[in-house]
Amino acid sequence: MKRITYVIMFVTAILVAPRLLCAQEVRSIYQDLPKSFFENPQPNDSVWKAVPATMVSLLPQNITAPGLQSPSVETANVKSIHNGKWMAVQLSWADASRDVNVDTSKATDACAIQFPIKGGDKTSPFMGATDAPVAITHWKGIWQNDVLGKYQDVPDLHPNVWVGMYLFATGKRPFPVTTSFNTVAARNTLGSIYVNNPIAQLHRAIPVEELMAEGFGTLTTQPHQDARGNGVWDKGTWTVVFARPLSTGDKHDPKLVVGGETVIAFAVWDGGHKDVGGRKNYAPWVPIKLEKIP
Amino acid sequence: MSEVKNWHLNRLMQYPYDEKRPNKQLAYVFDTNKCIACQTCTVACKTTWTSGKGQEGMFWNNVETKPYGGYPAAWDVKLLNKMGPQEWDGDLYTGQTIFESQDAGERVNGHMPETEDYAYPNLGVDEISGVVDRGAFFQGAHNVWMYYLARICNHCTYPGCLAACPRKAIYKREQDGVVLIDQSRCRGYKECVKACPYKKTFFNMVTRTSEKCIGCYPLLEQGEQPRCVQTCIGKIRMAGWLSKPGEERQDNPIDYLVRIKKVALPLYPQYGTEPNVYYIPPVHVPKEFLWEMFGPGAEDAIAQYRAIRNDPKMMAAMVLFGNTPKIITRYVSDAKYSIGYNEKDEEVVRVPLIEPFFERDMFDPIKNVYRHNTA
Repeated sequence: MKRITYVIMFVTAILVAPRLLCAQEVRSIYQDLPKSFFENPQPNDSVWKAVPATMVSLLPQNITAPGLQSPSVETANVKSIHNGKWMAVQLSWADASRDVNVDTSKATDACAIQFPIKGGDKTSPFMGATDAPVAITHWKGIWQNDVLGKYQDVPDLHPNVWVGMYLFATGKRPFPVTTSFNTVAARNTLGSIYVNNPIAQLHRAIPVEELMAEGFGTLTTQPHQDARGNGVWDKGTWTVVFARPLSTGDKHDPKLVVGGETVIAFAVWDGGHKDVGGRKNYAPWVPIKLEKIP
Repeated sequence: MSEVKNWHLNRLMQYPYDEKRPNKQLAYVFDTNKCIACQTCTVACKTTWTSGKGQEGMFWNNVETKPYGGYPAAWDVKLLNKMGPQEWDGDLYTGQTIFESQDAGERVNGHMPETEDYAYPNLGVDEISGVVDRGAFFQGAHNVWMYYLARICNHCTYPGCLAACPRKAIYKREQDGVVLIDQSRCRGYKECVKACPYKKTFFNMVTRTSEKCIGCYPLLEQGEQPRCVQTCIGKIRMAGWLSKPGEERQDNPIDYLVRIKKVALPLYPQYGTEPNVYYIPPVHVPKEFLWEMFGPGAEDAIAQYRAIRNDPKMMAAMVLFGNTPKIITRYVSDAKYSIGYNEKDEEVVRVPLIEPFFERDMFDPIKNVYRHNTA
C-alpha cells in the first residue's frame, strides 16, 4: 500500500511539475507595521495593495482517498508581509458563492496554509510524515461567521422548523444554541460540544485553528493556539489573512527567521463544490523568503 | 486492502482493514411479520438519545413502509441503482460489494443524501405496492402488499462508515462489536454519512460532527437489551450476542435463529458490510423483492418460519422476544416453558410456550353483569 502511494506521489509530481513553475517563490515583504495589524488582521487593509502577489496553481488532492478528481479552484494569489516579529500571509481566490453553512449536503468554503517544523526537505507536503510534523493553520468560512456572532443554528438552514421542546434548554424559543444550552444537562444533549471537540465550539474567538499532522489522517488541533486570521468575501473573491508570531516557543509551531527561507503549502476548499477534508485543492511546497529588515 | 471473510456472501472480499471479529458481537433479530409500525421504538430512541439541538430530523431508529417508504428518502434505491444489477450464484455472492466497486478517489461506493431527504421520515407510510383492482375483495390473501421495516444501525462486522473515515474516528468495540463515532475526534467530513449503505450515520448541523446509534451500550454493559428492543410493544425484537462463524451454539437464541435455522437474514447483505440486524422476512411479499432485500435465503427462511410448530426449539426462542429487558445468553425449554438465562447463568425469564387459556362463566355474580361480546 505504502509503495503504491509513493509511486502515485512520484507520478503526480512529474505530471504536475510544469504547472507549478509559475509559483516561483513567495516573498514576505518587511514593513514597520504595528502589532495590531497582525493581531487583528484586515484582509482589505490598504497596506496589502502595494505587496506583490504570487500566483500559485492548485491541484486536486488525488493522492489519497477521499479526494478530488478534478480541481474546484485552480489558482490562488498569495501575498506576505512581516514586521520582524509577526508575519501575515494573504490568500485570495475566486469563488462565485459565499458558502459558509454546513449540513449533510452542504460544506463551507475554507483554506489553509502549512509550514514544515524541521525544513521542507525533511517532510512531505502531503500532511507531513511520521516524526516529521507539519504545522497547519486552517481558516473556514463558517468559523468566520461564528466570530461575527452568526453561529449556524437550526433555523438558519431550516427556517420553518418547529420543535416542541429541547430537553434542559433554558430561555425562549427558538432556544439559540449559543445561549440556551449552558447547563451541564443541556450541553449533554450536544455530543461533541459536551466533550469539547475543537471543531464544535459555540463561542469561537478567532476564525482560524492551528493544527499539526504527521501524515494522512493524523490532523490534530494544537494545544496552544498562536495564530490569528480573518476572511472577507467580496464580489466573487475570498480574501483571507493568516497571521502569526515569527517565533512562539511552541514546539508545534514553525520557526520563521527574518532573512531566512522556508517553504509553505496551501489548500483551498470550495463549499459549493462540497469540498471537505481530503477533498481539496492544494499547492505543495512553495519557497517563502522573509525579507531582511533594511 | 485486505481480504476478509464475509459469511453472508460465502466468500472473501476486499476491506481496508484486516479481519478482526470482536470478542462478542451485538446482534438483533427483528420479526418483520409482527411489526405494526407503532414507532414506540423510534420515540424511545429519540427521547433517549436524539432530543438535542441539531438532531431534529435525526432518527437512529426508524420504521418505514416497504416498498415505497424510506428514511432518508430513497436511501436504498439510490444505492441499488448506483451499484447496478449484481448476481448471486446460489448462496455465493458473485457481484461486487461497496468496497469493491468504488470510483477513483473514494474509499467506499456510497451516495450523500440531500439535507431535505431527512425531513420526511414517514414518507411512503402505509402505501401499498400497487392499485387494488376494481371489484376486488378479500379472499384470504391480499393481492397487493406492503410491510414495515424497522431500522437501526447494523453494527456491521465490516462497517462502511469505519472504512470511509479518513481520520479513524470510528471504531468497533472489542467487547461487544458496537460501532461508535469518537465525538472528540470527528471533524465532520461526513464521509461516513456518504459511505454507510443503510444511512445510519448522521450529520449534526449544530455540533458539526457526525453521530450514530450507540447500541445503547450503557445498557449492554449492564446486561440489558437496548431501548428500542425493550420498548417494542409488538415484541418483534431480540438483542443478544452472535457467536463467531463456526462457534455458534444451539442454546444461544440469536445463534439458533440466525446461524442454525437461518430464519433471520441480513438486510442487503450484498453491500458486504456483514450487518448484524437480522430480519425474519415478511411471508406475504413477492420473492423477487425479498431476494433483493435479504439475499437468496429468503424463501427458505419463510419456509422455516411457517413450520415453527414443528420446531419446539425455534418456538422457544421466539417466545422469549420482548419478555425481558435482560440479554439472554442461553435458553432451554421443556414441554411447557422456554427459560432464558443471563451471562451469569441466572434465570431471567420463563415464558409459557402456549399462553394459558381461561374460560370464564357467562355471568359475573360479584359485579352482577353478563360477560358477553356483541357478536
